[in-house]
Amino acid sequence: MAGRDAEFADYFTARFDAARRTAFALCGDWGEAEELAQSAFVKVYARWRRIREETVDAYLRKVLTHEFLNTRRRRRARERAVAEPPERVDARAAGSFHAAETRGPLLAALARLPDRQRAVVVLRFVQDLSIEQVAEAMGCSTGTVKSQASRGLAALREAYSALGGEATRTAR
Amino acid sequence: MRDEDREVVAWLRDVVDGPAPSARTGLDEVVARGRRRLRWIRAGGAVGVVVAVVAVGVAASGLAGRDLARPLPPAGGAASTTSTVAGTATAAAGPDWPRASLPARKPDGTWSTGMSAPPPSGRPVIHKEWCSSGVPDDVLSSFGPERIGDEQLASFVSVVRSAGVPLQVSPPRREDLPPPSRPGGRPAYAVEVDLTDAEGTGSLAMQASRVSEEPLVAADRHAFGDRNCQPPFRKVLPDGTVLQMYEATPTEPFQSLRQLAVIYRPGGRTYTLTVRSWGSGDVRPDPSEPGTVVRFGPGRATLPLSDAGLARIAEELAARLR
Repeated sequence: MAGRDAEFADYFTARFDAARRTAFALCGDWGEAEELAQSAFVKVYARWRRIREETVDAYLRKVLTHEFLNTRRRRRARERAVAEPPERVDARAAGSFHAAETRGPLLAALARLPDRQRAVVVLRFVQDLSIEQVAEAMGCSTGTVKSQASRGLAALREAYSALGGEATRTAR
Repeated sequence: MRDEDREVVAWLRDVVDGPAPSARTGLDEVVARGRRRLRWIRAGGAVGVVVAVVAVGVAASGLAGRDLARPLPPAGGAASTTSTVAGTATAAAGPDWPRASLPARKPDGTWSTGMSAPPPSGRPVIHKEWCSSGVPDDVLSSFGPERIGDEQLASFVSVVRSAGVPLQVSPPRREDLPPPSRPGGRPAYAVEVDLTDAEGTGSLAMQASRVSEEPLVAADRHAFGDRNCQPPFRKVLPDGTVLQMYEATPTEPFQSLRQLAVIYRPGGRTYTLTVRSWGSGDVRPDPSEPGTVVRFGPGRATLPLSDAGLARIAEELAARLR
């Protein structure tokens, strides 16, 4: 067990923070991201002997993505981010929202994407995975990945443009 | 890829690679949980598992709408007091149950509204401290969601309607979601009702599942499962059933509110009650995932049930459900 734990310790040290950041991009909450990443590494540990070294990253991605999607499904879509903000927003609330937007306008736009579309966007563009790798992690076809990535990126592009593009980015 | 898209992608990566709170997870914790999971798998329990949830609409009348305008209780911290199961409740706003005899947790973050959609006009903005839940552990020893039977549904509706509060209760709705096609996907079952009073419409849902442990063990494991810092309120019945209620908590979008109460029956069956500040009129079908819905309405500013009302329903259901 010592050899197993030593190998796993090296992997944990090297990858946990990146997994936590990926999870944050998926869920938008650092606390939840920590739990998703922790849960994914627990599953990796339990299968450590059976995972080949060259595929462990892919396995971690798959577990993390499924943890996120399963968590959202358990919560039911009722707690998911809305596609559109409400029409009526008072000045105080608008100010609060603006503050959040200033911290991360694209993160807010990302949060408004449907869960699976957001997962595709994060894996494809943040993680820079190939379409085939994303399809493998998501358990779906490459065609689905292409269409979801295209729609997700279009939504983010629109949000980016609406926020003033580079000017907003540098002001963050 | 267009230049504009490259900018978007670069910015996304900036966000993910930017400042982040320190990680709290240590290697020892992951290894310990990993070993527990291994033992579970080797014991033959590696069935995909998850605690189920079923929302049952309840027309509970009874639960006083007045104290629903109650503010959220203050978030707990390391210095928070706790009480024993046999003791008395420490929070004035809680149900007539003591808090579980567990140490409070230290906050590791703050919930703030506005991540997806801001609260509507006039809704006081909430900032609430969060604590780590460690909830993923529940996957290891629960046997997953169960569909709520017609008899259980009838009991649910009857209890809510007889709770004695002047709430309008809608006919119950049943939501059965088959497991998604992706690997590891699990089904989801729920029954729910809308609850309406002068402050608007909310809802109450019930889900059922099974766990492998005795009620108190499972309740302890789930004690901080709602990102709560204070231990939950708890009542142990003479037959060993454990009732556990969490404080109301804000959720996205629109700074909504939600509160959980769980019934742990001897033998492993578990019922989860979720009272919410939004109802069926605040959701619509989600075209991206058939069978599910997405929020578009802000709901009401308060929960449609008081702590006492939710506790009363949980106690009544514990007496009826097997």
